[in-house]
Amino acid sequence: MIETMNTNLLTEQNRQNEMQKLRSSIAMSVLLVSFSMLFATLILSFVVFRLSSDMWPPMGMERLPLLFPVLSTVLILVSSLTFEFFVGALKKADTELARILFVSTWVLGLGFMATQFLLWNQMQELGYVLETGIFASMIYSFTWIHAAHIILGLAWLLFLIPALKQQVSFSSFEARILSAGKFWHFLGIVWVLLFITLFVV
Amino acid sequence: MAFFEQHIHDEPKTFLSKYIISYDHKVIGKQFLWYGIFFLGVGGMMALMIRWALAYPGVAFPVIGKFIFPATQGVIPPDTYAMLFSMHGTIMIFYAITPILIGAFGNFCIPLLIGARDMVFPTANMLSFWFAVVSGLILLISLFTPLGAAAGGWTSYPTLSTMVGSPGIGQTLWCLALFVLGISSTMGAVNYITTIITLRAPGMGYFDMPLTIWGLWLTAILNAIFLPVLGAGLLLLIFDRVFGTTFFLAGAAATSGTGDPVLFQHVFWIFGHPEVYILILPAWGIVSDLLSFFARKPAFGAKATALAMTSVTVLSTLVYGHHMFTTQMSPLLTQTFMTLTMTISIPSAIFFANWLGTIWKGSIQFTSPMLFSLGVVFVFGLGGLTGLYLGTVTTDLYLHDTYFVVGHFHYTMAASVLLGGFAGTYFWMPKMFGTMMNEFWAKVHFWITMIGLNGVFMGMMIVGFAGMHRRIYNPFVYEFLERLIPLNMFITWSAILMGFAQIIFVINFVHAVFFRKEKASANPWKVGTLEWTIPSPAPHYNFKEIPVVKCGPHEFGNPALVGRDYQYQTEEVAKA
Ligand SMILES: [Cu+2]
Repeated sequence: MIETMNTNLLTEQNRQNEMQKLRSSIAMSVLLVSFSMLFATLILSFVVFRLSSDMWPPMGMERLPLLFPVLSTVLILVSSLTFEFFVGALKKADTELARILFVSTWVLGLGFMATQFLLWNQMQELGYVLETGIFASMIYSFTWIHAAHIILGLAWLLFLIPALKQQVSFSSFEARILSAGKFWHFLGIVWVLLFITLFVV
Repeated sequence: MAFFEQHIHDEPKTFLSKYIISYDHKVIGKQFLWYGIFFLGVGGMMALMIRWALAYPGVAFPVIGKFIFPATQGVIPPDTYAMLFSMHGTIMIFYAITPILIGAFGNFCIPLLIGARDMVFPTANMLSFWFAVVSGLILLISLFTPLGAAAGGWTSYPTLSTMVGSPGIGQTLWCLALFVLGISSTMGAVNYITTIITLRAPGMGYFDMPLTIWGLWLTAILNAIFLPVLGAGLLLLIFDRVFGTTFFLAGAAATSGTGDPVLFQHVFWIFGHPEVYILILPAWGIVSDLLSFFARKPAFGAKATALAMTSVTVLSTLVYGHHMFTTQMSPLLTQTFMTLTMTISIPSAIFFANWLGTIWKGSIQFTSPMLFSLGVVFVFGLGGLTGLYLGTVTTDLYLHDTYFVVGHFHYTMAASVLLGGFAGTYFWMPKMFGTMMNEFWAKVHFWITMIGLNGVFMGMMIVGFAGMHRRIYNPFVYEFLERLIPLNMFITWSAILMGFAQIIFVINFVHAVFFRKEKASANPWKVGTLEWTIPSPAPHYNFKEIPVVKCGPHEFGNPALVGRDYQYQTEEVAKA
């Protein structure tokens, strides 16, 4: 009798978790469409300016050294990887490893921000300020907007800290973890696109 | 689709948690309604000032003019005139229509009509309202800044909207206000979409949803996709204004790469055309339902109506270029946009014909919601037809930026949506506030509004066709327009008439909300959708038991029914 009640409760709990997952995956899909459109519009304006000018970078401008942008790319991609390993460790209930991987994800995110600051400093030293025409304007504005989202993403990741406690069930946090992960990976993808458009092409 | 039951929270007890920081979708809906009605008043006042300046150029605005424009003894100055029409457009579109149709009816109707206890994310819902409040405050504050509020038109095209054209802080605050409002609406949209997908009562398929919900759902989808486009454009404009970038400024810095003012127009209209449908889709949905309810007949081709609205939604994303025919677009592109625009007529004609099919041979009850719905059918028909002249390149080149455009988009966006909003307010009043509004005065309100409205917007189309440009402070400095002064006076007096009619509405509304003693019955209109199965006003948790849906929303006049001509969605379709 008690046993069936327990299994009933358990299946009810599972059902709720499943629904939670479905709910947040729908909401996250819609939200990511919204964020994509924001960045797509920025990239659209890049395409317009790029195609309508005779030479790129515009006359009197030089390409930026790739060091910091490449570093940023590496850091954010590795942080996406550590996040995935973190999810895997949580699934296997290896809390110790999960904590290390979570902290590394977060620190790599901070590292990304640091390289961005270095990039902005370097640009200033090279004489590229916001007012020096569309080429510099775009690099500054787009990376700023993206960096603002990185800060949002770092704050979002903090909401996963309760999942790092010993003895929590993974499934009750699954929806939250997956949503934060989707957003974090999304920011990585956007950065790669910005890297290609702003610094390489 | 998957269904799950929400937890029941406790009923809030304090004034603060009940009416201010509320998580209840019904309260948030009402908050948006009051918010929208307030801004409707502000925007309406601005409209009257604009109209006054056009009918009596150089004459002081009556009564309050001396207090508002003391420097000119009550005459509206030219720069203020530009500010007035810019803010009138912005306020009406983003702060009156959007909160009423999407904020109020979206929040109030979605859970009630699909048999849910609340929105799926109540916290995001609450935040969405308070973001809208912050945005509204920023906009109102901008009116009192040294150089006044934004004055570059509601479209805020650069170069007018850059520091070159508008050096004041008003324009920056305008961008900021709309950006914050965009965040609010996007949060709302995510909530609406997820709620409609996951919280429909068991048994309710997509085609069992009332068409109101279809309209709100499609609106939310468009909002989620296209508001961020405007958001990006606004961010770049803010950068141009605050940090000195040159995204939308051409010329000066040519050697180091130069910006492009027309880019903003593209970005604006990629958002702006869907925005038109964002505003009108909820009204279409409400009207599609109400016509069936008060013709006491099943909605003719309800499935086709829903699919036609969906096709309009899809097509609306592909036609924005028709706003830019005069920007030296290549003919190949203009013709493509023209053809795509014309294509929208097909689904529009389908659901329009369905509306007529619904009322055909119905036993129509001319209640106030029905009168307003029929009003929408009339004005939307006119607005839609006149759109064809503007979607066609050859005629648009002549009509672009004339009052014909103003008349056209007021018929579609203002008149249709306003009448649809009134229809919804009169209809859901008993469920929202537990009382009915006075039917007699509602009908008086309808007829005066209808006469005034057609006088205004028909008049605008005529003066536009005669060549009167929009946005000119005093068009009559041009000799060929001098003869239009009497017609402009007629438009202005029609507008004043329409304005006074709204006082009737406000008194009726406030009286019903606060002073009316008689309570409305649970189902005063004799309609079968889910919200009418529960008491009026809707109790704190809507449905004691989540209903099980067994039939569509428009089951009227089934001969097998005994004693009534409608059946609830919770009942099996009656069989003889
Ligand atoms: Cu359009």
